[in-house]
Amino acid sequence: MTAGELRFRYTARYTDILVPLGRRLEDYLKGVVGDQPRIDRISVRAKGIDRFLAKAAKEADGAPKYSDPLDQIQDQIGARIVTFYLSDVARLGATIEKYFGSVEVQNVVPDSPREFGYEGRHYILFIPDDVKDPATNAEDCPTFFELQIKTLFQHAWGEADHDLIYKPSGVLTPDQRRRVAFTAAQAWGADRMFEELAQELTPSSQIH
Amino acid sequence: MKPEKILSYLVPAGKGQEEPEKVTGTEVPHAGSLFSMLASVFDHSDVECKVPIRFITDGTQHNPVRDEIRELLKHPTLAKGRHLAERLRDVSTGKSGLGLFFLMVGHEGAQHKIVLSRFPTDEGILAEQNESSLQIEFVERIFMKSAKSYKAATYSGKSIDAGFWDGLAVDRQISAAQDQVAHYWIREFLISDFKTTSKAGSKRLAVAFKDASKAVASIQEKEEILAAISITKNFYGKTVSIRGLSDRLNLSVSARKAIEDQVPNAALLDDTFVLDSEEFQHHAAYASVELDQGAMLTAPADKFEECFSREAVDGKAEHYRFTTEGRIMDERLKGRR
Repeated sequence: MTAGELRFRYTARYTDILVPLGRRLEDYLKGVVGDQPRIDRISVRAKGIDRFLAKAAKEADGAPKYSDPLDQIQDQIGARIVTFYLSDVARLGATIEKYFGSVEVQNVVPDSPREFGYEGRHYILFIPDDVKDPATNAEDCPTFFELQIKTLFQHAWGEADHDLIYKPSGVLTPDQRRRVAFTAAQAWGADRMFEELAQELTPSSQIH
Repeated sequence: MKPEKILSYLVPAGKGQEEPEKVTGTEVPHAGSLFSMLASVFDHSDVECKVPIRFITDGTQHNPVRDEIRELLKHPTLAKGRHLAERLRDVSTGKSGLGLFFLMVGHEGAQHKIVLSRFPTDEGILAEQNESSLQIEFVERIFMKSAKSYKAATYSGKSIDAGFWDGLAVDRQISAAQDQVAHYWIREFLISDFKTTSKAGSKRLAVAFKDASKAVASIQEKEEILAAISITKNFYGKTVSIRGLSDRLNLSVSARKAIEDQVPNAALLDDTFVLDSEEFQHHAAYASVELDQGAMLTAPADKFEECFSREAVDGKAEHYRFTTEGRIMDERLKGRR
């Protein structure tokens, strides 16, 4: 499939299937965890066309990473739950696992304990049939969506990092990299402090 | 569509055995009555297998049965298929007995397709009639598709590497007994689970009941649906589908339609899950009856019929007398919202 054909097919999928599917999935997710305490936001979005095409064009070991990106890329629908404290991430994760079938669960942390950077709990989950449009050809509808559960600080750091760091402008200087790591360390520390305070100040019945 | 390759294995029970019997296999030739019968099983598997299932993983997108199936789709040989047959042997108990296991591989349009099918063994009598006489003979090993314990699963997809995460299964024993039966075929052999989790399915069912009770106009239909919610407690912990439960509750056509109308996708009516009492009660917690003289009667939905007895008032259409008794726990004055 040429890049032009892929763009044409994903654009059609994005408009006709993914955007409405994302809206229904957001309502469904809110129905599952919307009444849980300390949730800042629940959002679902379809992967943008340019970002999908950029991912589809990635290479691994000098060869295309995806032979069939429309079937292989699993985060064409991305969902995010932002909550307050680290213990809330675990609690919400446990609830999600009761309602959705999963094929991947990952606590994303930096590779080395000497590093600070992106953190979050990621899932690859089956899209429930309840939100699929029966009129849509099953082959055109993705099987999975990605769900990220993060604290407010993890979310804030991730957003700023994505906005500032993932630019085509070039490689960061050592000082810039050090400052990025510093902000990640501060977000990590803030999460630890708020978690400890929540454990000390919130009655246990309200934590879980 | 006809299968391009059919592999067959005689699978003995071998669960817990240190040295289980060997699995023997053969390839079914592309001609004759057996091929025609199996081709029909392959062709109709999407209709016959109605229970959506999914492979479960250790959290890293890995399932050994899915790996075997994908490998077999790429190289459908007796040796590759034997891995699955041996896996079936190793989860088969004496109760499951000897089985004839078929692996059918082919295409449907642009999609790869595989059907796994287990025919249980039975005893029977062979009757052969010639011009002047009838010969009958006892046969010890007959493998029957129509027996109550026939099992199958089918998977299809365009991409062998990215797809084949979910499929459809039939287990004729599911409807007859409990979740435990599905354990052998779906959980132990296929390392799979129902596609819909217990919580998600129970929520869907409770919300459909609740919304249906609001949607119907007649008192009789509301009463029937509330009674159905109450009786549903008898199915807590059991494997159900919305259509199957409607059958077992013997719901009227109108009540059934009202419930089915609340389900967003007709395919979900046959979707199978284990009914979770906590989730069902959470979403269909209370049943309430409002009378035209202002009274409101409320009780837990699954106990309403126990809390209030109802009798028709003679000579007055749609008039009922409710009676109840108990110790007063609380009395409140509530304002209008």
